[in-house]
Order: sequence, then structure tokens, then C-alpha cells
Amino acid sequence: MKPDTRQHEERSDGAPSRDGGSDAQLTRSAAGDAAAFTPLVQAYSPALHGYFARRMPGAADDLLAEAWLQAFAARRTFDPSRGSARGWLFGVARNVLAQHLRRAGRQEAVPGVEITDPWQAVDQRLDAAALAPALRRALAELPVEEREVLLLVSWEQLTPAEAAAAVGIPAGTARSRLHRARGRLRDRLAPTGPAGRHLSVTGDMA
Amino acid sequence: MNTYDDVERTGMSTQDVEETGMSERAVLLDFPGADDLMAAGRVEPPSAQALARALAGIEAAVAAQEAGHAAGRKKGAVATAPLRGMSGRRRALVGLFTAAAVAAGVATYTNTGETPTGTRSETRADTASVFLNDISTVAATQSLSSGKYWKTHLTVGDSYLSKSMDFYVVNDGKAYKKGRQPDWQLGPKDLDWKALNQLTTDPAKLLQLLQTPPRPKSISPFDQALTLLGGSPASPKLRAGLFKAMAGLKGVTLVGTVKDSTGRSGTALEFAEAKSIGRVIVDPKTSSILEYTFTWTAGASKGKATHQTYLSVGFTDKIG
Repeated sequence: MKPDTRQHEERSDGAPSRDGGSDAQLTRSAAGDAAAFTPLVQAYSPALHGYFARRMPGAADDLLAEAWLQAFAARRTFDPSRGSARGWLFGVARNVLAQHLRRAGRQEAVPGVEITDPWQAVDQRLDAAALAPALRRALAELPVEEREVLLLVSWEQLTPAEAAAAVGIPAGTARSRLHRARGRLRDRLAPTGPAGRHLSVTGDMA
Repeated sequence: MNTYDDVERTGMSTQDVEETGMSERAVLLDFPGADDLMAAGRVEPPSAQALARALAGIEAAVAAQEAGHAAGRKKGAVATAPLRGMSGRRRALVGLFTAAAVAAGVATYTNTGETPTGTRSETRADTASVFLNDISTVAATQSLSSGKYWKTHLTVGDSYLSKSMDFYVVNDGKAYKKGRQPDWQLGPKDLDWKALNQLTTDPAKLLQLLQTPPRPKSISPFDQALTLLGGSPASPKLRAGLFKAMAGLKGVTLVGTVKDSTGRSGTALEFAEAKSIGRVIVDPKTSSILEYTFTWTAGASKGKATHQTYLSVGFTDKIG
């Protein structure tokens, strides 16, 4: 496995690319130094706000404030040995979004599975961005749990391990979901060959 | 926005990484249209207000936590002492339970009411209850004191209240007796000083009283609680109970850190009714009420507001 080259690149959202300092701040705040939590708000608010803005544009400000309070209240559940502060914070954000969707009754009809990927809002965003209709359709047809991991990696710039922590699944599962999503998109969008047939082969009507 | 635009998309598979040196991220997102998808995720950065609100909420929570801690240490640190002899595992469990209790508390307050009405206010109601629970801890640890009179020092002047509810104002250094102050109202109860001292401090019972329709109807539960918190000699225990009860009131929202009309910084909460909105600014370090503003938002008096800015309140043995 190659080293994570992302660490040498600057994150577009301005959040720290190395999470070591943030992990320590979060751990310290959990151990009693509550003020150590405050710098995290400055460091990660743009990233977390982006997550909400892409999925629930009208409520992003409210959800951001709520996510921070819940993260602060739950800060003792952070375990640096199980992953980075970044992945953990996105997990909190995902819960806040799920609570919001549940209350609003707008949750996607996936009985028994809590998938925080409100497709309508996301699809409107893709439409507004004039994304190629074929790609948009292919994304819509991805199984929701694969699409969620894909968007966490693509839009939130999480590593598969961070996306796994956010969703609450093993890292290997996140990697394989991403792998399958990539495969489906390639099949569906390959310049040669009729896309329709591939769809029926994979048979995903998420 | 993204820093991966320069990565060439070649349609290679994951296995090609080692040979090509393609960044891991580019490999992860190696499918046709990946760049377009990333571009479609572009959003405006959060507004300064949104950031300030998030930060204010956390600063208030941190301040409340630290004030509570400091007070806890003063009072003998009962909660932390037994931890010393515990194994690492037990200690971790205690930490986990504390966090779970906090989370459960939030959930309880969210579910107090019947049917959720609006998502927006619901979300903000959560944050208000977190703050109110924290500030309740702060209130409980303020020292108990006593005196012949309860003095209220407002920006507009000073007033004194005797235990028999006689009300005095001071003007140009002279005290004038202004008759009897009306009893405080708490749901169906009318409370004088003596009754206030005998009132329950149990948050659940207080909440029940607050939610019992008052007479006259125009006084909201929020106003009733704040009148007691700001302008009465309620004990620290009663104030703590009232703050906690307010955490269970539906419709209280957290505004964040603001400055009052005298420039003091505090945490603002709001409670909107059909025709009015009440806003209170609380000092997160002491739980003192700094300012209360009541504004008519509809009806004949629309736009009219009354402010009460508390410079200090407390017991004293003499007037003047």
C-alpha cells in the first residue's frame, strides 16, 4: 500500500490534513480540559458545514451548530486508537443529519437501514451543476450505501478509513463498497458498449 | 476547489497504482466523470454568522462545563475521588456512561413534547436544552446567602424588596416605599417570598407547574421562569431546578453569544409566541441573568420592546 499522498496536498476546505493535533485536542478535551475542544470548531467547521450544505442546504447552519454541541457532549466516546478526529466528527455530523431527516420524515425509504444520503437534495445539486445526465443517472442507480461512501470520499475528501469511521463500518467494508461503486460507474459509463445491458447485469435499482 | 484536477484520468484499475505513482485518492475515484462529480460538490464556505454561532454554542458549553467543574472542586469533588482507585477499564466505562448520560439527557429533552412541529426549531431546541442543563449545574454551585432585603440594581435604577413583599425604589438617594410587589407567578401558584422558599426545587415538578396554563394567559412559561431567575431571591437550588425545567420547555432556542446593551457578553436564548418574543442573556460563568427583552411581534403594540438590564442582584440588610 502506498503512503497516503493526500497528506502532502493541501485540503481544499482548509482543515488540517494531518489529524494528529486534532486527535490530541479531542482527547485532552475529553480528559477534562474542555477548552481544548474550541480550536476543533475553527478547524473543522468549513468541512462539516460543507457536508450539511451539500445534503440539506436549507438547514446547514442549524445542523452545524447542533453537530458541535453533540460532539462536545459525546467527546469522551472518541477513541484515537480507533481512528482520526476527522472521521469521528463526520460520524457525529452523520448522526445529526440522520436525526434531522427522521424528524422531518423525509428519510429515503430504506426500511431498517439508516443511510444518510438524502438523494433528492444531492440529485438537485447534481442537476444544478449540470452534471452529465448519464453520470447522474448512474449515481442515482448506485446502491445507497455504496453511494454514501463514494460521496464521503469524493465530496468530503475523507479517506476510506475515515468514511468507514463516519458510517460506523469496518474500513475493509468501506473499501469494498467504494470498489464496487467504482466498478458499476465504469461499467455504466464506459464509452464503448451499451450501458443499459450492464445495468441489468448488475441489477441495482437502489 | 479541488487539488486533483491535474491528475490524468486514464481508466486504469487499482492494480496499476504501484507502477504509475498515481495518488491514492485519484485511484479511489478512478471512474469516468469523477472530476465532474467533485466539481458538483462545490459549496459556498459557511457564513461568518454560521461560524460564530457554532463557536458561541461551544464556548458557552465549555464555559458552563468549566464553571461547573471549578465549583465541583470547591465543594469537595465527590464525583472524581472514587475514580482514583479504579482500573483503567472501569475508568473508561465510567467515562462512557457519563457521555451516554449526556446523550440520553439530550434525547429526553427532545422528546418531552408531543408531535415534533418544525425541524428547524427542533434542532435549535436541542442546543438550548444542552446549554440550560449545563447552566443549571453552574446555578446550583453559587453560594447561598441571605439578608433583610432583595436588591435589584437595573440600569434604570435600584429597587428593594422586603420579606413581606414591600417594594422600595431609590431616587436621588432617597428611598420611597411603592406599596406591595405582586406575587411571583408560577403556573397556577402565586408565590410570595415565604412561599418561594418552600417551593419545590425538583425540575420535573417545576416544569409541570410552568406548563400549567397561567393566569393571565399573557405570561408565558419562559417569562415566569425568568422573572424568578432574574428578579427574585430564589435559592441556588431553586434556580438550578428552574434552568433544568426550562430545558424541557418546547420552543426555547439558543441564539449564541451576544453582548447586552451595556456591552457585557453572555449567552442568549429566545422563546417565541404567537405575538411576542422573549430574549434573555445569561452569563454562562455565573448563571446570572444579564438582560431580558420582550418584544411584541404582532398586534397593536407590534415592534414595542421592553428591556430589563440587571447590573446586579443580591441580598442586603439596608436600603440605600
